[in-house]
Amino acid sequence: MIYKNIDEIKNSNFPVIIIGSGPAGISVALKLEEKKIKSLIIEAGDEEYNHESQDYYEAKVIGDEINDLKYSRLRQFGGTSNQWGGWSKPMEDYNLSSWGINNQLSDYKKQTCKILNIKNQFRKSNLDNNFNQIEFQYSKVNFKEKYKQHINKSKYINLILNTQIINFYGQEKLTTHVECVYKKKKYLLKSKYFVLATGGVENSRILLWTRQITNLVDKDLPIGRNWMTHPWFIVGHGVLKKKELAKYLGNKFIDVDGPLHISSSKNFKDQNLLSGSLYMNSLENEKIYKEIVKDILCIAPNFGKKIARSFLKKDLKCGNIFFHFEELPNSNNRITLDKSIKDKNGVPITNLFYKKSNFTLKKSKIMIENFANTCRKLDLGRVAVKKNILDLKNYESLGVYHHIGGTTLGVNKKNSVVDINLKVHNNKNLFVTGSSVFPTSGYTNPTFTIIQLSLRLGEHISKKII
Amino acid sequence: MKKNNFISDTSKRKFNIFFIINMISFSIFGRLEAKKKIKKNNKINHKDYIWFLNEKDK
Repeated sequence: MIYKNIDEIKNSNFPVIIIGSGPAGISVALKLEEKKIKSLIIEAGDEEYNHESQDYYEAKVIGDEINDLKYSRLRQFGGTSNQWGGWSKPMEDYNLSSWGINNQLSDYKKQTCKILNIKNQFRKSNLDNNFNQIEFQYSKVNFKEKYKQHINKSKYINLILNTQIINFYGQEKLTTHVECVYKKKKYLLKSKYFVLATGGVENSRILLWTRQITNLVDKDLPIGRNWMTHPWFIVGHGVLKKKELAKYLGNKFIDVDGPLHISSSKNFKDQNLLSGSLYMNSLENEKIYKEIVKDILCIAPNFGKKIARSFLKKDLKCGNIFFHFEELPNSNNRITLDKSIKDKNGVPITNLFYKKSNFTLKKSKIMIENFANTCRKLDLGRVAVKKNILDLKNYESLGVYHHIGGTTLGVNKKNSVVDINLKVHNNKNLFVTGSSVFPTSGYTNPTFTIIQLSLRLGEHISKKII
Repeated sequence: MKKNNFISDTSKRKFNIFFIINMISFSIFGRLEAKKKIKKNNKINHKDYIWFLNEKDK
């Protein structure tokens, strides 16, 4: 049921209150519905984009350039799924192994694919010891469009829009209420369990503010720390022979005319390196195609002639090589509350401190060198690498869209905020879900993992209630 | 009810439309920025790159 007025529900007692109606919040509610447990989702934004609500995302970024936090996420029903790219894939097991949750996420893989309307097919083929070809599925799901009717008819999922959360209240580490604002009036909503699912920046902000004005959250938890993203940049360009590629990849699933995704392998990660993926676009840009062939004809005429022949036979994959890389958690990259500027509800705006890491640059250099050498040795093609990466000068970020960390999960309270069941350490009933709980980023786009984690959380809470 | 309020207040509507356009342009802006940076890479200055080649390629 979707409520238009908070007065209709202000005295109701939902066993679970979920803050945020993005992929994370809706996935928790769907799992609870499956178990016949009622939940209330509180969404700060409206059904459509609303500038007044979006204003609450005002934030300051200190350090390296990051896309404006006011516009790189959406405060409305469905959250940022209203404008996401749709790249979906489970995280690699070797990236999840340090999370302490074993293989529990794989139990939710099938349901996640159903939610995202994608095939449960993520094939992998070895190129050599260091690299695999990987497969993404592309989701076109907008959570508002997919689930609006479902929620409206649901006996178990309830949604209230235009209701902004300020903080949680309670005593003796038991959360009893959430304070929210609806049409400038404050309300206290009561529940047994609370789930914070407001995204990779707001989760930290709300917890920091709750800690500042209550004693519900331990003072020494590293809230806001270890904030990460996936550095996305161009490392160079290359020419690859489609037939040779197909031969080495065993022709199992390679779509030589589609986008080519290659990831680093477990073996690569085990060498104290970061994991990463590289891709060449499916839509070949004719201009760069010719530029690259011309360039290699000048630099390496013997090989260039062969390439020119392949060019005529349309046997080439040719273009820029993009990296999507893992970033190490760094406690200096962090979210804090601004000391002077507050939003209209009196909550301090976010300050995000972020610096690109030299470690990322060094490890990306090793990865592209390895890939270029693999292509050369196996005669798959040739790769040209940017000098500023080889000289470890810099990488030019193409944008920062993935907000990861800040309320990371773990066993040790010194370096994590929530436990492996996503409950805030030392709090009895306050949970957090979303990419903010990822303790490491891996290289994979986060939405698939966010949904898996949220379904798992829904199951965990349902076991406590039933 | 909410929609009626929205429609009856014309000044607010103009303001909203302005911000919707603003928001769309900003969300596209991020992508345009990325596209611009990608486009820059489509023009190759060979001095900025090193090819990984075999000896017999040259």
